[in-house]
Amino acid sequence: MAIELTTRARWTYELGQFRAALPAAAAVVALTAAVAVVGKRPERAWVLGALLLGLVLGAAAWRRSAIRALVPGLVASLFPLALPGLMFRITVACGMHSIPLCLTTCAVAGWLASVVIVWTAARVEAQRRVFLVVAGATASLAGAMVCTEFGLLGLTLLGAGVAAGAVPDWLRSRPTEN
Amino acid sequence: VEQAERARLQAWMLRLAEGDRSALTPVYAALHPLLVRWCTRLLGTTADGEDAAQTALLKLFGAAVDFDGASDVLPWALAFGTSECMTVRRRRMRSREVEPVDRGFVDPAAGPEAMAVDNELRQALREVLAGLRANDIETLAAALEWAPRPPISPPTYRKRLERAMHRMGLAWRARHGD
Repeated sequence: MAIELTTRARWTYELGQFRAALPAAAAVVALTAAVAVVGKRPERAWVLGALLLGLVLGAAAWRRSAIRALVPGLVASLFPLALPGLMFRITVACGMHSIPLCLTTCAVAGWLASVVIVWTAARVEAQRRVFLVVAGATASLAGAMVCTEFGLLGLTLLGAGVAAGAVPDWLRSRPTEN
Repeated sequence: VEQAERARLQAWMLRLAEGDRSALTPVYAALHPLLVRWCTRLLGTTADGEDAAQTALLKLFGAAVDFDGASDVLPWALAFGTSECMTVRRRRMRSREVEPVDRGFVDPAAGPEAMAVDNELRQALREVLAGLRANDIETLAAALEWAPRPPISPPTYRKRLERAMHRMGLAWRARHGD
């Protein structure tokens, strides 16, 4: 009886973790659908959305700091979602002449996302490194839905932009906080 | 609970809230007997206390991710027990109060429409009865021969029934109008 109850307690505990990640999962679905509708390559948006959903589930199955990093990561991803998307529309589909500008936008948007993440992480007391990694990965994956329009270089620059802001803070956070 | 044990429990609960599954067993082992004792005291019987404690414990594990450590684990855990005991008490009271209503007023053979009206009537009556005093419900149930007559003289019973009918009328009008 006690063993059965412990198992049920474990199950309800895991369900509680997933419940905590539910708002982020809903936001991922909405964001993916929006990008798929507005963007030029919906199939890529769906694949990246599925990966992002996997990240949300993984965070839910891992730990609370990871779950708490999801929403800030998604909020931060609004920069790489909006700025390159806007650039893509106003520079005639980022033609030959404006490709460098579009690529730079991905990097700048990634850096802006990392600024939001680092600013939010400043208020996180425990497991700050986990928070930075998960929020950074979330923002990168969500932002990739738009930056993928600029090819592999766009994705690399987005990742580099996020890393440029988040890595110094990750290094500053003491490992003992983990 | 001793101070040292309480501090240990607080530390385990914090670890569990953060996602450390290995803390589940010690938290369970510490809280289960505590909640059983608490619920037994509140409900009066060991069987009800055990049931309520089990449900409370499952709800507690489902909400473990919300435990932030700012509050003490003991009052937090006992709040789950108290809430569950109050639910059990309400359920007990309601089953005593509205049991006769569940018998229904029409024959199931009368057809689906009559059954639907019957369901609506029973629901309305259930809501009105739930707002009455236990004394009034006993009197009304006795008048409908759903329960034995209370051991009081006929004139007293008549007056009591009159008052109960009046209060039920008022409650019905307040909820459903004239």
